[in-house]
Amino acid sequence: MFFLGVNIPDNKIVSIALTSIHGVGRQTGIRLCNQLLIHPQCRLKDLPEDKVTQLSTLLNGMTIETELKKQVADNIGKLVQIGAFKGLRHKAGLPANGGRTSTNAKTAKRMNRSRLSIDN
Amino acid sequence: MFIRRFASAAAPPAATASRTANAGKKSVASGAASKATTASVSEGTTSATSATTTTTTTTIKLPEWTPKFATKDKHNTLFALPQTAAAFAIKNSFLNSTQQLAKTRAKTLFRESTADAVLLRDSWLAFVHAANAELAAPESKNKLVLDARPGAGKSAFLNLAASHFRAFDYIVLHFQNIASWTSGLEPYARAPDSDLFTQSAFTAVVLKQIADVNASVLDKITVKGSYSFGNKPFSGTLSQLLAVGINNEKNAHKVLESFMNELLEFPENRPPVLFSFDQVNALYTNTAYFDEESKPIHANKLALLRPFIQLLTRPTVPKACILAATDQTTTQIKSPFLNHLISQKQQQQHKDASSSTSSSTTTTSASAENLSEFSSFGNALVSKEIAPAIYDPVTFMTDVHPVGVVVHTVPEFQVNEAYALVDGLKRAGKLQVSRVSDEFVQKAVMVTKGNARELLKYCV
Repeated sequence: MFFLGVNIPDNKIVSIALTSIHGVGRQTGIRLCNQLLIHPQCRLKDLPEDKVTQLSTLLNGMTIETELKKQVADNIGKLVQIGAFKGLRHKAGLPANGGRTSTNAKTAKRMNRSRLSIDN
Repeated sequence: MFIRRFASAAAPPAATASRTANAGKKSVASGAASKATTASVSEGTTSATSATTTTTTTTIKLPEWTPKFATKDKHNTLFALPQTAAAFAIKNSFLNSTQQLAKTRAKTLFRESTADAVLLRDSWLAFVHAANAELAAPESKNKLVLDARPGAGKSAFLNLAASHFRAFDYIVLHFQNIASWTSGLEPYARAPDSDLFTQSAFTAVVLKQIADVNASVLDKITVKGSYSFGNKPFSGTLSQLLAVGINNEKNAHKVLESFMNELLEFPENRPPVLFSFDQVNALYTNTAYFDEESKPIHANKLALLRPFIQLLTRPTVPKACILAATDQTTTQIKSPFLNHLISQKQQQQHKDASSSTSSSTTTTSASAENLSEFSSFGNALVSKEIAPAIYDPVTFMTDVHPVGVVVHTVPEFQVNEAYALVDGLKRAGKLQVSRVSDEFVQKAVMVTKGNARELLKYCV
């Protein structure tokens, strides 16, 4: 099933399946299901049409997927623009929160520079 | 000595008299008794006499239970539940999913093959005797609750009791697994006019079960009350009333309330009713459902369960008997309040039994509504912050407290009962045991402390 451009598996429980969307975690998924009174063991394929519509409406009102990535990229870009230390670290692709660089820092070296754009 | 004792266990009176309370009641030697019973008796006798040399490989068909077997001389005999008992099962919509099946099978192992076999025990006869007393009274004041360790046989007691009373053409409302009603498996919605939550589709399934089990009886009872569904007044039989709810899910809850009202307000119009609830603690706990603010919904807020909870709060029920059994294995439906109430009732009954003046079956009424009794024990009133594991908000919900609870304990299996059970299941081909001997059974009972489930697991 396609939700807002994301291919979500049909056989999964709804609250779990929603975590496939970038910006929706376990708790948010559960909260969304409770808000719409979707029973905890409901599978996505068994969701009635009206609930699907309501879910889409709710998700449209949230910041998810591309919008969320853009927001994060903008925040980091702002740090770079104002010349903040964190911005310099992002630009260099090094840990921005005080992590060690003598060893480890693999995630920062892989991710921090790419977070400047939304194409990751 | 053991061989001789077991030889007479399946055949009636002499050895049974020493074990049962009816020491003076030596019934007619049922060697000459009904030929219909010789099938099971002779099989039992044969099995007993060859106890030390169990080499038979042919399977024996268990006799199907009928009420005529509910006698002392048939105790320790294995029966098969009638085929009509299969109608008691209510399947959840999503129970066929692979995950659920795998979990169920992993837990039950051999239970699928032994589920329809039941051993007639003296304690069950006493339980049914108490139920008969309630049904005979114009208004029943007591709710008979079975309590014991997990695996003792509470559900088997209820299943057999339901089949037993159904054979008398009583109306039987037997619900085997109430926990599945509250486990989040069924769609739910908020009722438009109240703060309750409805499960329309599942309520229709429950109505169908009631209709299927009691079809022959409900067809003959005309509805006396005035009900309307969709602005259309209803008139017809109880079967037709249930059909309204089955065919149209939107009316299911209203039909259920009307049906219960019809049973309780017009008792002269119907035969006696048996209400039987397994996993009754699910009625007094939070369900797996949540409201819009992600707060857990209590069972009392489900429109499907509410009529049954209110039934248990009634001081008297006309021309009916209510049976219930607790379930201590499913942690999601753990109810500290109900456990506390049951232990309190057991102490009270023990006290009454030990005193010579009062009868053991009488109970002081309305104690469940008196919070001061709980405060003397203190556990149920402990605050959530101090002891969240035993805190139970139901303690303060006095409008849902059951009234007139009488606790029956399912006793552990004795050696002769265990032998009859294991040997009977082996001969019926339902349990794969290499050899059944006196020493083996005695050791099994000692190791498992007479718990039926552990006993069968030990034997596998």
